[in-house]
Amino acid sequence: MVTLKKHSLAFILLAAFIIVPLTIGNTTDVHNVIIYILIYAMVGEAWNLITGFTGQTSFGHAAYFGVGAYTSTIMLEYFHITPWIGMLVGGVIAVILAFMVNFQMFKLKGHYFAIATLCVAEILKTIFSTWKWVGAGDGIALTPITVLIPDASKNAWGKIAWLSLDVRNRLPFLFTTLAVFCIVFVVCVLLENSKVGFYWKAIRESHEVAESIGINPRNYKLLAMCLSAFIAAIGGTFFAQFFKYIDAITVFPLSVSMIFVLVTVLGGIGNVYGPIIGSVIYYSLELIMRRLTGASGSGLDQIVFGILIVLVTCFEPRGIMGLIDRIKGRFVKKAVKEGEASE
Amino acid sequence: MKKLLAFLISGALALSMVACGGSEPAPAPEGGEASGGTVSIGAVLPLTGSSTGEYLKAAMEVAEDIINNSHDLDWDLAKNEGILGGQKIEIKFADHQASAEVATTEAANLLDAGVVAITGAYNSGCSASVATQALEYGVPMVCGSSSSASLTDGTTYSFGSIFNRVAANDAQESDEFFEYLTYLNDTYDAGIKKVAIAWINNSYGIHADEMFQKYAAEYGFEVVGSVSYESTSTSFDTEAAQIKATGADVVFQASYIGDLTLFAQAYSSIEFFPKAIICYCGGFQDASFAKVATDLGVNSYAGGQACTAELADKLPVFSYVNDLYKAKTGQDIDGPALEEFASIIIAAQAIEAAGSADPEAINAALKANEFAAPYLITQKVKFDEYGQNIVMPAVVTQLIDGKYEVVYPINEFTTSDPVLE
Repeated sequence: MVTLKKHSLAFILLAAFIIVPLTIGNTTDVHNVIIYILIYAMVGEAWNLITGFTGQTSFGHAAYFGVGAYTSTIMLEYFHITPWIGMLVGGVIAVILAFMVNFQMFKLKGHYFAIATLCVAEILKTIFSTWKWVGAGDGIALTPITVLIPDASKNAWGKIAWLSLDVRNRLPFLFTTLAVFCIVFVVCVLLENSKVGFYWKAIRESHEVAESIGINPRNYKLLAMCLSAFIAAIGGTFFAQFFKYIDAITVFPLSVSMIFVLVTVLGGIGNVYGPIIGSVIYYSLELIMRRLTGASGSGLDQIVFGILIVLVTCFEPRGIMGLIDRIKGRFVKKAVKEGEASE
Repeated sequence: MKKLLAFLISGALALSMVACGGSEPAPAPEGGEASGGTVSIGAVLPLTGSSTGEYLKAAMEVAEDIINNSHDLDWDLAKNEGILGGQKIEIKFADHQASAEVATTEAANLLDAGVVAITGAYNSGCSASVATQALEYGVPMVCGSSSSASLTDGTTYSFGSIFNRVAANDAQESDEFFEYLTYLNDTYDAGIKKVAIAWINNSYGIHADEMFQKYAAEYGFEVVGSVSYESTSTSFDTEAAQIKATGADVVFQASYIGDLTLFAQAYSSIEFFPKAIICYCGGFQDASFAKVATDLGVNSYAGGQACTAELADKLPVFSYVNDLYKAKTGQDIDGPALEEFASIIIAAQAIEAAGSADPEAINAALKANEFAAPYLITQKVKFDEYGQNIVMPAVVTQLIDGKYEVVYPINEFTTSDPVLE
């Protein structure tokens, strides 16, 4: 009961994500938007682990996102292996990449580390955009399962077609994405409240203090980065399966890394609810503005959204969750004052 | 407080649902019964980010005007008001912001709104995204100006059954370009032997390079260089110097307007003046490039065009369309704008041919019929099974003193002799 109360927001959100697409939002357009929200929230959770909890700013999470997208897509397209396995393999490759790259890079701190992470994604973008086996600048288009596997409806593939994460029927794909996001969310909650989570926060607050109490910052930062890379790669797989086409420009650029940063910062960095709240607001607002003004060609949607981001970062760097905490604090103060006055 | 937060988030979600256009998917009109006496056609274009989208939109609006109102032209579609016995068409525009990701959601929104055909999307990657969505709904797509050969090769994508493209693809253009170079050698003793290409590293550029290599070998030209560049680059001095170092007689370009302009400036600054610079659609067709070439004082740029303002006297329908377009935008209609204009016209002709606004019937009509196109040099459009327009919809034009002159093929539409640097 205590857990239920503590995470009542999570259950309310879960209910909203189940009910909305089945009722007032039962259109492909809405389903598309909710899938985007979930995918970017998933990778936002990943980014939150290394930046929000551990304090290491990464501007290159598109690298792990892209590795996940490419691995599962190549395994499905070239070797006819289900994306569920491709997703795990992509996660493992992303972990290996994160370990190899960050083992040395964690010697850097602050801005230097952030710039180095950005470079990793840009290097991968260049490699993948010229590597012919992975389609180079042409990318890879996912073939429908019925074309990829002849007589799919009659064999095991067809009978368990959902295993291919085929998005042509949006709702099953949406709920599969939601289920995986829930698992990621629960893992992040458990990590935040574990001993490791406290070590991460100690490192975030002060390397020196963390070391003085026997924590090895480099090992724990590496652990956070590897877990973060694994989750980001899973997000990449869902993106590729949903989008049905990937190329280096779509999955590796800085703009993609910045979406993970934006949704988390907007929602509340260092808070497990931050990425999902930020993602809901980011995509809802973006969609509303685009629908209202987009086809006019004025670009007003992008201007308004940019202003909002500037306002949030200037006046409430802890994002929406910070704003809520601030409002909550005022109510509590007022209640205490009223209590004191009545005494 | 958490309840308040949950309320706010649910509110945001609900608002986005409203923005998405309501709760129930609008059924596609069937059996010729279009809602409110209008038939809706979707158009997904890059309306923000560059002025190109606005010009394409203006061309589509000219098509809408010609279909819906009576015009004094020797063309049934223009003479009559509306289609299917008087129903008007309505174009629902959406902005994909040159992002394939945004194109996906925007296309889904239009398809949910019940459009019976969808058009766009200029950028090849965005056209693929829109077509992927259209395939899910079984709604036909008429793509105007995207040129990547992969869109209609029947293997790269699975949407060939609903896809139709007006523009020439890279293979058709390459064939015509090398035929033109052979003509220059035979007729003008141009001495062109070595060719090189600069291409943007995306779907459009990659296929242009592939076709360039293939047809260069077929026509017996020596490929001395193939230089790719990233779309995000802001200077092409190095690439231009690389191309110059190859000693190519003729350079091919697969570039958009921004990069082509920078290349043109770089070539001039290093005093590289090949006998011809042949451009795959893209930036060359943008009317603003004519001013760039004029300012640089070069007449070497040539490329494919569906039509050109210099043919106004010979093509009265084209001339009429160009006047309407010029009144809206202040400039002559360029290749991509004319192809997007054609996409709306063809969608309307297919609805008329199907005798109904049922997407399945429209799709069947698109695949089965040959469509009159008096605004094009070719006068007609016909799609193959994967949707490629098989009536070569382009001629070779050369920018001579700021005008797109038709230099090949040699027929009644040729407006000038080629100028060799």
